[in-house]
Amino acid sequence: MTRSIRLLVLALAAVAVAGTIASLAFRGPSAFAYRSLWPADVPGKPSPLPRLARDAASRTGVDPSSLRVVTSIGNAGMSYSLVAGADAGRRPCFSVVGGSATLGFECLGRSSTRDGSALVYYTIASGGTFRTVDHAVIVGIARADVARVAVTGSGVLRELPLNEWRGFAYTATEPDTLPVSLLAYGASGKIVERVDVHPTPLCGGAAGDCPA
Amino acid sequence: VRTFVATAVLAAALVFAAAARAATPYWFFQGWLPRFDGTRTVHHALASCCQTNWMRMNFWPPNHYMNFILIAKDGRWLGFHSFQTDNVLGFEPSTYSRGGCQNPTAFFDQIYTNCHIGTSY
Repeated sequence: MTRSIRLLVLALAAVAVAGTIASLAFRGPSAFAYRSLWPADVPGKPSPLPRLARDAASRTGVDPSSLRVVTSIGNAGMSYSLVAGADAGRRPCFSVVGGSATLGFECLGRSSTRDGSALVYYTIASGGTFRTVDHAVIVGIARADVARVAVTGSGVLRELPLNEWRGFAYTATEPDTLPVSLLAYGASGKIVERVDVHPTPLCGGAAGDCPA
Repeated sequence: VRTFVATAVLAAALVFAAAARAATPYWFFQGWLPRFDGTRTVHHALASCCQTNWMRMNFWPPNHYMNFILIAKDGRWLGFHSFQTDNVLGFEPSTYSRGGCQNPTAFFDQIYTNCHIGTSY
């Protein structure tokens, strides 16, 4: 009897330990990692932003007074910025502003699909016709454990310098410079993340038939 | 009599506007992308010519990104990655005529997509 009780207690303890380990494991690395690998303060430089950016921030739970510009690319006619902010839980949140538009803010650790990612990036593509892509922009920020970021296009690897907030940007205006993949390298030189960023036209080819 | 007629016209206009609003579905598209014919992009006319328009897109499963699409009056288009499974894009309507949602060709998956355009979300 005593042996049975001992075995039962051991079995229950084993189940409890296994359950704890499983619950920690299934939370994924992001729930633990993003706080240590992303800046504690909002990265970027305080800059004037359009009313729409502040509006998008407040509508998506981000304090408009916290907004900073991490990186920008383009010219006065058309420029895009990666904008950072913080929500009420002081989580880092990101959006892209440009083209008279602002994307809703995405906060790491708040049901984001990118919590475990080494890069937060946005690709903006445009075309003169529905069948073509003639311009693409990437703006992003790299996690603390990323040493280098590069983009590939037409078989050429182009390194993207990281600025003081670990922001990076890329623009392509020629077909052979349109981005295909974005790569993040760790300190050892090993690729820690590779993402597909090649832009899709509105129709034609793999994008489906164009209306007649 | 003039006051009565004006009041009646105003009331009729309000009832008509309310009915029209009630008849307009919130999502202009609900379904799988790509569609059965391979179409990956759906788009709709702006909700307002003169005030900020908001698009909202949600999608499932959440294993990749989708694109918000803006189509300018001159035929140019602009696409923004969106990684959140439920996200919004606000834009000023002066240069645009349509907005929509796209499942990019980088992915083979069929994605169930809800796409909205309005003056709010």
